[in-house]
Amino acid sequence: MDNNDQILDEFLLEAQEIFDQLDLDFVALEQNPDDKKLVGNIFRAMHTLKGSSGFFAFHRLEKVAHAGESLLSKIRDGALALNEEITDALLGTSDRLREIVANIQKQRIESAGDDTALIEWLKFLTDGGKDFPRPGKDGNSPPAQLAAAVIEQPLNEPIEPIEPSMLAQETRSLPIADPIEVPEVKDAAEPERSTEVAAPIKVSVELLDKLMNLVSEMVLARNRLLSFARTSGDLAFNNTVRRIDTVTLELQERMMKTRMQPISQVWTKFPRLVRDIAQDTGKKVDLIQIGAETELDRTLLEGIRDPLVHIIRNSVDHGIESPEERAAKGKPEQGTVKLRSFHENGMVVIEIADDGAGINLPLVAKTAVAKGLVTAERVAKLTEREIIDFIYLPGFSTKDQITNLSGRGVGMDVVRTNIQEIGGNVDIATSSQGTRLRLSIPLTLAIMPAVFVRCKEYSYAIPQVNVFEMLRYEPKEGVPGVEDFYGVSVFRLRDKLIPLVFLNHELKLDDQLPPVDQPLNIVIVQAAGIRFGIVVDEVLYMQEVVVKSVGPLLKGTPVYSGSTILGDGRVALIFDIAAIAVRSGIIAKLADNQFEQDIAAAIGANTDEQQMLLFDLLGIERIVMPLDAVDRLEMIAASRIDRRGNEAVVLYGNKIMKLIPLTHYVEGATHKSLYGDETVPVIVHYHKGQPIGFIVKKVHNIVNVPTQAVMITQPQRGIMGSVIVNDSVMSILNVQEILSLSGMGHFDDPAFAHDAEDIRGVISMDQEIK
Amino acid sequence: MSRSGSYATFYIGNLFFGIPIAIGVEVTKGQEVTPVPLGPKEVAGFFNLRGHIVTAIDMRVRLGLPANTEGPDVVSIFFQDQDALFALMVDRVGDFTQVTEATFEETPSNLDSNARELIVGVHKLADKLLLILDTQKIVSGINLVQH
Repeated sequence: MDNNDQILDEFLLEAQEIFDQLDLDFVALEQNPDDKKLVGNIFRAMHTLKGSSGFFAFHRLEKVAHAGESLLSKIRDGALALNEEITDALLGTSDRLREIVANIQKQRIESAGDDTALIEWLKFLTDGGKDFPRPGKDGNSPPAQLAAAVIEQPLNEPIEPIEPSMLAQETRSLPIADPIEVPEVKDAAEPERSTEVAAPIKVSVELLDKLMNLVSEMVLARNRLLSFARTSGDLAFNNTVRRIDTVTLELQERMMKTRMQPISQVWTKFPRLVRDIAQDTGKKVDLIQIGAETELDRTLLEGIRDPLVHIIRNSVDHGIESPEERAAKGKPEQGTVKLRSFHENGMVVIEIADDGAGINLPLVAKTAVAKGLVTAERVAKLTEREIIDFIYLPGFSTKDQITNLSGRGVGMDVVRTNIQEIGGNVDIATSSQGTRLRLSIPLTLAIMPAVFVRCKEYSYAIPQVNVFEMLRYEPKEGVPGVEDFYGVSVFRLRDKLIPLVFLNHELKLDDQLPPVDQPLNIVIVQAAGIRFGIVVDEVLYMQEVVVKSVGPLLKGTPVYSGSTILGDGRVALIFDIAAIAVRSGIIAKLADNQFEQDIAAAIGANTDEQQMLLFDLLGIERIVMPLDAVDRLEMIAASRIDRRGNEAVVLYGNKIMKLIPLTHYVEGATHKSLYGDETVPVIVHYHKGQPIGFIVKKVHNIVNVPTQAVMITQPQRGIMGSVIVNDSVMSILNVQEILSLSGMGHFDDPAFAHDAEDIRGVISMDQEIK
Repeated sequence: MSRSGSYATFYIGNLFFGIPIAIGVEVTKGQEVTPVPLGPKEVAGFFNLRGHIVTAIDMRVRLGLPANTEGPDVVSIFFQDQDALFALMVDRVGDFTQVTEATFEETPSNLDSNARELIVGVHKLADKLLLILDTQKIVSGINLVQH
């Protein structure tokens, strides 16, 4: 079963659930015709179905759902009251949809069929009509006397109240009258197909959560058992414990795996979706996807699919302008929708950015006034953000014309509801250059690596995504330590000014700032766009943690993003680094004065670009290193390589060049031995007058890397960090680290004396202190 | 909240409290609580109950009583409220008690206002008064923003 099949199956399962719910809702609606919430539910269900069918290009389904939705939106807005005919039509719609889906399930494609009559009927009702000549009568349908006869009955006696049960029965029989072409040949395959859809077992999230909790408990019990085994001399016991140990580990890993899936699962269908919408609207749109491998909880994936479809629809249909309009504005004719996903502060962030016209805020404000949501005097005083908030209201749309794609104003309402349901939030930024939506989704049950630090007697976790480096500062003669800079404590790190936050002070555990002549343990973190140092009592260790929520009572204490259970069974709190940055006032103080500029300048935010050489390693692609560190590029035949002790060397001119296989020193790369007839690309770097060859897999070209490029990942072994260049992620090789790792340390080199000073106190990120 | 039924009882200072066992109560002792700096003052901290994070509420703070001077003989009583688990840190746990409507009386007005808010009513037992707590209000009444 390929990916598309899988997605289709998921759709079919979802559709089945929607139908089951629709049946229940319709029955409930018959009993409570005035229940607006119920109408809203049905409306949303139809809308979801329509959205998903657009996604698969099931046009019949889409059209029928669209027509049903139009009628429902009138009822929702109170323009129409529910009557028997409308209920008939809606039930007919639901049955028709169910039928189409049933056929899709059998044949994997949408069968042909004519829904004109039903759609006409729905349109007629939407326009406020009554007593439409029923579809059973018109020429579209083949004669099905039985069904037609039953349908005509309520028509002839419109005044007589109809029992709900009768009504349901009658309308159910409607579809009999409709032509559904089911090719005979396909029937043979039917049983097989049906079992395929039934194959995946749906397990409730609660059950998975419970299992997960039990596994965590088991890990703790295992840990205790291990400590017994250490002191016990009983071989049989120890072997049993070891077995339990491995099984527990595997159980834990599998348990985690059941829940994590790459976001690409949801994204794969978007290129087609964008293409289709772009074609329908006569636009040129390019979709860029970054970070498709970001994993998130499966349940969350399901939760974000519909919102993403809505947002992308909006971006293409509303956001991106027509090619002519774009040309007139001086934008490239082809619009861009950029999907980007990454982890930030223990949240999965999904950004959908388009370079379209942006949200027309004055129009939104005008519509809000026209709809009576706000007075004209009041609206003038609203901030941009408050105006944006209007678009989240159900039924709010600035589009005069409702298209098949969007404009009903249901989109953002559904988006926000769905995202909030999974505990996330939506943020919109808009300008005439485009709109960016940012969905932050928490990792309710995700695993995240964290650095544990101690402050007073308790340990706290800092999400590793925020951590840049950890260092110990020891005051020395002549070296400036903590200084005061416009009211902020700062620290010089390699000639850069880093603002400091004292954790004990920030958490109000201690009134005293530590004396400046004491050694300090500093964790350098980055959040909310700034880099700062957190002074802790001790850096403990790094560990993968299971993130748990902090419960409702900490809603007013945003300093924590979650909690986790430690190996000894105690609870530790996980910091929200961005919230700490805000709380500590650093950001406000930075924004206040030229400090920001100074810091920015100090952090190296100049607009220069640096030329770098782009190459691949086995198992890890797109690595760059500064061009000034490259002397030459060579292709060296493996047969020319000699071994000297455990080193590989090659005669290079009249010198001996040491060869360093970079795969050995760069985290994430795959090792491979060289074979006799191979020729390998080698990057020649001169170190203290000696040539050194870095063996790589493939050398590409030279790229310009902006020096203020955002580091999007923390340093790893051999890699300083990653930058985004031309929408692709590149890792920057840490040449100095490679040299020192390979035994060509630079500590004895006077040219690097300054660096060596700093590095002495740095705990490298991959070094786990148990 | 029904006025008759079974209650889990406990002492805080000289006061004798009960919460209905219908809401699912469990008693544990000696949990190591991780405090929450900057959190609401009523929140004593968090601890782990079989893989669940439990929010511990210091009932002395919640009721506006002076801190326990006799030592840390704290016992927790758990209950669940809207998917979150809570524990009440109390001084001493009593028995499970069955009461009927007959002994019930509205909250006496001379009670401290802080405590009165949380108390549904009083059962006049033979030897003492049993104050019935509204667990939901214990949680919902906590002021989330402290600073």
